Order: sequence, then structure tokens, then C-alpha cells
Amino acid sequence: VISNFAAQLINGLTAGSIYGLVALGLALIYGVLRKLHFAHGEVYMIGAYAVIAPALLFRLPYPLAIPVAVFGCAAVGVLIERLVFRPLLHAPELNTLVAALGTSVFLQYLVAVIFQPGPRNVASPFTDRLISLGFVTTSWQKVLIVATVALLAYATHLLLKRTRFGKAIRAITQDRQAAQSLGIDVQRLVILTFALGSGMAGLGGALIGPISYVDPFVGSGIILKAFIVVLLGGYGSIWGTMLAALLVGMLEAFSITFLSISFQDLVTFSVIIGLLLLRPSGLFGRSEGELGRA
Amino acid sequence: MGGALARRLGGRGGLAAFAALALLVALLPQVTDLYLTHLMVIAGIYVLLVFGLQVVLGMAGEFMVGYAAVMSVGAYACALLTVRAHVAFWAALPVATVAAALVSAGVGMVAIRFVGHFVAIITFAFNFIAYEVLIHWDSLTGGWPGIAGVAPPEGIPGLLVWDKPTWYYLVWALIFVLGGLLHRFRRTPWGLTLLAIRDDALAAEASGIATRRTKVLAYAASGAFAGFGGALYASYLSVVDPSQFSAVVSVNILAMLLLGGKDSVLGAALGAVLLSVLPDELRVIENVRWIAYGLILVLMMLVLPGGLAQLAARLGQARRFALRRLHRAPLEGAA
Repeated sequence: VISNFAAQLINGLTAGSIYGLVALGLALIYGVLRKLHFAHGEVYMIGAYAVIAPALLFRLPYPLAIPVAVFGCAAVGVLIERLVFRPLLHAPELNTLVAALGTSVFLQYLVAVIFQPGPRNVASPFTDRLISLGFVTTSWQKVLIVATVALLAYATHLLLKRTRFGKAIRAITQDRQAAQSLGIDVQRLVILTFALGSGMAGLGGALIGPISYVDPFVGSGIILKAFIVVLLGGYGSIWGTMLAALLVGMLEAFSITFLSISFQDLVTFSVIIGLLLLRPSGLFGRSEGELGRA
Repeated sequence: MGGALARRLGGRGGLAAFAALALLVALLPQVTDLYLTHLMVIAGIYVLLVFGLQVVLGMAGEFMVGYAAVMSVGAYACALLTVRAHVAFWAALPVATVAAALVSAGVGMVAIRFVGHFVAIITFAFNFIAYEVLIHWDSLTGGWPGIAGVAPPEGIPGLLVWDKPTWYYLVWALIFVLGGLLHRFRRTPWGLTLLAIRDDALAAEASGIATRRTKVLAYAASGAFAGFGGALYASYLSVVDPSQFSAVVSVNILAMLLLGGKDSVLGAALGAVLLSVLPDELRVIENVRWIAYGLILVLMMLVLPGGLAQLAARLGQARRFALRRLHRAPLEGAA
């Protein structure tokens, strides 16, 4: 029982880390743009396929394919900003929402046509190598995921707190117009934020590829979880977001064990929406967060 | 209602234009093949659905993005009642309508606690959950294959059989009646209350409007349209399955509303007809049509953010401009 518990704990930790990574990128982009980037989940999906494609075509080993996925997804994100969000900057919110959803449908089926439909899997040298952690044996890939995400979350924290770049992003998040009038190049920073956030999503996809099956439609599930994590974490707090992501991951892992896999998402979403009803500003949110106002 | 629609169609020639439109709608099944009639029945059901979305989203301004899930409540209620409980269609229809209205009101009660576009996340999640329930609760919903053999409406023996043209006339008659009512509704105190909440919720609240209760009522009303349309949809196709109510369907209904322009009943109807026929016409290879569809949605938002209403306004401007040039031309020639 204990080893099963520990195994689910690790599964929850792994899934939660991935949600955290995607949600963090989403929160950064939302902060500077104030638009719901519904196609962010597809960037994550492309990250997973970006590891599969080079491995198939050029027999590129997994560790080398990861940077391809990260930079590829950063480029996709910047492209989405340029072609969809920038022209719609002053459009009604509803129009941007439909355009983002349209982008997401477009990318899903584009990938579905390029790659034959059906779930895919990619081999990582870390998947089969096992590590023993007390009660439980797990694969190095999961250790790699948790460690990478923890490091990245800390790096993002430092980036936002200690650098001029981070200061500028926080300024835009708080008040776009004021930031602009103070001479911050908002346009450039929005592009950089899209690159950073999309790269994070791409990395998430690249990391999950080897331990989970991927199909062109995984993005729509993950984007909802990422949005909900951002809300639950109390928008604007990095550590709140990460904790909320881990909570969602745990909820999922343990609802599989104790209930059934069929209603995994139902349980997760219901619990979280219930929590949000109790605490509308999120579990760790303040009325005015670190990154700005919700 | 004729007069109101006529005014919308534009002044003096309006009544004639409206009569022509009604005649066209009435004659269509007589002059075309059954396939087009079939497409227009589906399109007509979507028009009814878009009317419902116009209440909650167009008028009350709530970002309801999970509309297909509410529609599924009506469709599955109708299917379960007629197939499992052998209830007559005309008895199942009101039950399905009320069931969807109640579910929609429930979603509304949760959604109104969130601000602005975060409502979109909550309602989108609702669509996701509903879809999962439809797939996995197979003892009730039949899982992936769904429920087949949904009853058609009961006809009158010897007088009325439910073939495609009958369906066509039922649906389009409903559109004219409900569309007219909806158009009137916009000018009633209740309609104006919704518009006030959409335009400035704080000011509406300060003027003594119970914004939350009104919003939930708007959700319920739109749910009633969705349940009604969903039940018609289930009965017309005689089968329900989860794929008919996925998130993409919600996005499509949303796009119909935006294409038609949120503020016009006639526009909403036109948008629904265009976008429900479009995916069918794009049918080359299953997946390629959705690539094209996604692209069209994005382009639509970029080029025509105001929908067909904006297009009409632009055309009107161009026409006035051209007329002015035409009148000026002889003068310039003389000089």
C-alpha cells in the first residue's frame, strides 16, 4: 500500500510539474497581454511532436531534440502573437477569444494531418533507467521532469525579481499604458514574453512525450488545467501557481487510484471549481498579487 | 414583427424585401433537392441555438463558451425519454427544454462568481466535463455510440407525415416566431436590463438592478433555447452521440453569433446558416476541412471583426460614395 501510495505521489508530482510549467508560461503571457491564449495548449502539444519528428526523421537523440522543441515552440508562440494577437490587440475580447480558439483548431488538425492520427510515443534514454527512492522505484525521466521544473520555477522567480527584464514585465502587467509612457518597449517585451512562455510550454511537451502517449488533441485538456491552475494559484504568484499545479496533479493521480480513470477530469475540475467558489481569488492570492491585479 | 424586421432591412424597400425573404424561405424546398432542404433544417436548428446564445452572450455579455454542452442536455433528455421511457416526442420536448434551462442556470450560478473572461474558462471546463460524462457514463448515455432511434415528432395520420420538407417548415416557422419575439424582447424592460448589465454591470447594480439574479435568468433563458434546439436536433437526426457536442461545436456556435453580429436577430440567423453549411461544403478530407475552418475563424476575426453587419455598413458606405461620384461626374466633365 505504501509503495503504491508513493508511486502515485510521484505520478502526481510529475504531472503537477508539467501543469505548473505550462501554467507559468500562460500566466506570463496573460500578464502582459490580458488576453486568454487558448492556443497555448497546442504549443505544448507541438513541443511533444517536435521531439518525435526529429527523432523519426534524423534519428536525433532525445537530449538533442529537446532544444529543437523549446526553440521551435518559442518561434510558434512568437508567430501566433504576430499573426493573431497583435492585429487583434484592440478588438473586443470575444473576437480575440474566437480567434484564439480558431488558432487552436487549426493547429490541432494541422498536426493531425502531418502525423498520422493516433497516439505517439518517443523513446528517451531516461525512461528505462530506474532509480530507487526508498519505498518506490521510478524512472529517471520523472526525476528529470520534477527537477527541471523546480529549477525553472526558481529561475523565473529570479528573472522577474532581479532583472531589468523582469521588472519591465511586472510593470507592463501592472499597467500597460503607464509602462509604455515610461519608455518601456512594450511591443518587444510582449514578443519576448511569448517566446519565453511558449518555450516553457514546448519544454513541457518535450519532457512528457517519453512517458505518456501524445495525440494532436492533448492541448485542449492541458490548457483548461493550466487556466484553472492559474486561477487557483491566485493569479500573479509564481509559487502559488506551482503549488496549485502540484495539487491538481495529486488530485488526478489519487482519483485514478481511488475512483476510476474515466472520471478523472470530472473529479479534478469539480473539486477545483468548488475550491474556487470558496476562495474566488485563489488559494494563495491576494487582492493585489506580485504580478498584478486579477 | 414584419415591420420591425423590415426596418432592419432598411427603410422603404424593407417591407418588400422582407416579403421576398419570407417567400424565398417558403419556396426553397419546392425548388431545390432534398439534400439542400436537409442542410437548411440543420442550419435552422443552429439559428434557434444562436438565438439562445444571443440572449446570454450578445445581450447579457456573459462569455458562455460551453453552449454545446447545454444543447447536449436537451438532446440526451429527448433521446432518453423517447427511447428508454417511450414518451411521445411532443411530451419530451418541453421536458428537455426545462432540463437544459435548469442545467444552464446552474452553470450560470457558478460562472457569475467569476470576472469577465474568466467566465469563458469556467464554461469551457463545463463543456469538457459534460463531454467526458457523455462518453464514460455509458449505462445512461450509451457511451461513444450514443443513443439511436430517437422518436420523430408524432404526425397527424393521413394529414401530416414528418419528412424533410415538414421538418423544414416547422423549424423555419419557429425561427420567424422566436426571432420576432427575440427582436421585440430587446426593447422590453427586461431586454434593456440585460443590455445595461452588459454595458456597465457596476452602473446597473447601482441603479437597483439585481445583476446576479438577472444574469442567472439570462443563462436559464439561453439554456431553454439550447434544450429546445438540442431536442429538435436529436429527433431530426434520430441519433445522439458525444461527438455532436464537443467543444468545437461550441466554438462554431460562438462564431455563428459573431459572424452575424451580436446585436441583430437577422444577422444571427444569417451567420448560423452560413457557418453551418460551410463545414459541410469544405468537406474534402475530414481533417483538412477543420484546418481550413480554423483558418477561416481567425481570418474572419481579423478582416470582419464586426461580422456581416460591418460588411453591410461598409457596402453601404461604398455605395453612397459611388453614388456621390456618379452625381459629381457630369459636373466635372462640364468644367
